[in-house]
Amino acid sequence: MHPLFRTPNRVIAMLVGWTLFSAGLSALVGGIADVPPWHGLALYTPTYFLWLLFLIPNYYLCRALPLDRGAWSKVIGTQTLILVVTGLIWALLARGYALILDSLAPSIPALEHFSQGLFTNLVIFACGYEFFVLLHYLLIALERGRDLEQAALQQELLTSKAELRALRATIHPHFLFNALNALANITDSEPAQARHFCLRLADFLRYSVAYADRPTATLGAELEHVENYLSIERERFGQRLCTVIEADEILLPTPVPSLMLFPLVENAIKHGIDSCIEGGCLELRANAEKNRLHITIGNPVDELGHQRQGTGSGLISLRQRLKNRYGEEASLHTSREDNSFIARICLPLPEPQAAIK
Amino acid sequence: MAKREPINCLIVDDEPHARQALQSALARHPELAVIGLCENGLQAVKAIHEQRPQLLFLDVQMPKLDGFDVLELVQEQIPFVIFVTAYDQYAVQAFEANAVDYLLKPVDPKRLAQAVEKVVARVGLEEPSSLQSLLADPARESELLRRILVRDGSEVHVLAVDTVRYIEAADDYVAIHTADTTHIKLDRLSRLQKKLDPRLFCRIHRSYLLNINFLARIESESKDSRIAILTDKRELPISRSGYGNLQKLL
Repeated sequence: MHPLFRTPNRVIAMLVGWTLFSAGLSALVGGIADVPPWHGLALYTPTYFLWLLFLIPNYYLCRALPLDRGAWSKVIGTQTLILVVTGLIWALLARGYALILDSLAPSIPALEHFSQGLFTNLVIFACGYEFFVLLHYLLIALERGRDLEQAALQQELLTSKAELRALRATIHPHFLFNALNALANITDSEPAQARHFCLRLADFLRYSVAYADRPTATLGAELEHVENYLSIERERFGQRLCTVIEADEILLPTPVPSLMLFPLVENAIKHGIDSCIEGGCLELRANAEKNRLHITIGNPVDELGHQRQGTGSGLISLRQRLKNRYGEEASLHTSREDNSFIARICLPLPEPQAAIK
Repeated sequence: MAKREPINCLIVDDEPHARQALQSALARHPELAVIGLCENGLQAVKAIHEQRPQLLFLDVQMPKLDGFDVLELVQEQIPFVIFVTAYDQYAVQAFEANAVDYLLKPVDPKRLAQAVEKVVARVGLEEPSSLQSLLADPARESELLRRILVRDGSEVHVLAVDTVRYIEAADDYVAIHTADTTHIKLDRLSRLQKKLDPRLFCRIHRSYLLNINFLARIESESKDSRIAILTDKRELPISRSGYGNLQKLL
């Protein structure tokens, strides 16, 4: 949508302004071309309205021809060509109007006045055209800046949402109650284990809090975070939970969005393994292929087990975060087959390091 | 005071440490004897059926069958129950199920001692939890069932409702028919019907509730007598009001 048409007020202001401008210009051109003012008003003013038909759509041409580096010659060439063509079309339409005026009001020598003012009008049209080109490019630049700002804000919002979620999951009463219970149960019987448990819990909480204002972590740190989470849950699940985590060592320093793995692992436990009476194995694998990082998280699920209700907001917000950050380059797919659930993340790897190392 | 026989009890909890901690805490109470530890609802149902404990220490949140499911399945032989859970959101539900007491984890030894005292006072004086109050629990009635729990001796079956073809009323029991088996459950057809998806199950007769996905066609014998032919060729009678219910649904 052209910026001038976005609100009714703008359309009215433009039409009024353009009428005044057309009338003023008619008087001016009439003066230059030695045409009586009333004749100028009758002949030129309506034809100036036609300019709008050529100048307004130029906005879309400007959008189609962005001012990227190296595109200058293309932009100038195309705009000049369109200027010449539209100038000619306008001249033909204005001449047609002069012919009609000639036959309707013989007292005005319209065709003669048309020829008298043609050169001046074409020069003014060219200037007006260039003015609109500049105006449009300026508007487009402003809009793009605003869009970028909006996208950045949205990204920021999503990141903080994810952090909040991770925090809430850790400070979630159930999680803390469960952790405290497990701790109370093992302090007497296994003091060494209890101490280890406290350390893991502290590490887990520390990471969740620390990443409240850091959008990026490394894959290694993310894996350590979910390992801590799993070691807390393992205390509760006992034999019911087995975990397999496999990641190539050279991938560990890879930068990834922070708190990306936790919501997926948490889902796998809460909605997957905890629904199965025998429990099961959570498998997390990370590998690189064709400059892309693939992470899969798989877990069993019991269709008829008690499943805690989830809103799916974790998956949605993670998907959105990936999209904002990587565009179409990244993806998050989930699939359910028979009694297993699999989440797959695919991210572009930062170019040189991963490939060469 | 005459020395009583210790009260036999079962501990049901899916967390290994929780079972051990409770067991060692109960070692200080000679009036109770722990006769078994169960890791999940299935084991609990089996153990209750086979060992007939007088008291259950029952965790609420467990995989597949939770504490309330266990009680639903053993309703004819329900023992005294002390719920042991990490969350207090089930407290109301637990007392509606006539629990003797409700303990929060981690279990405080003093609270445990009080609970044990309560049980000792009640055993022998009264019947354990009444069935009706448990089944009338409004919180659990409001949700539509995804699955139906049935028990055959000590074996538990979890039936997905969409595999159930029809349910037949038989006095205080219902017979639940799936592709090749029939399960008997202590329940009333009208009560079960209320908990099933009304878009899926239609009361075609006073004694029959039909899953309409398995309805092949309707044959009329006379004006007021119709028969439902199922996809597996089984035939069920349709009453006049049942035919009305079917027409509304289809």
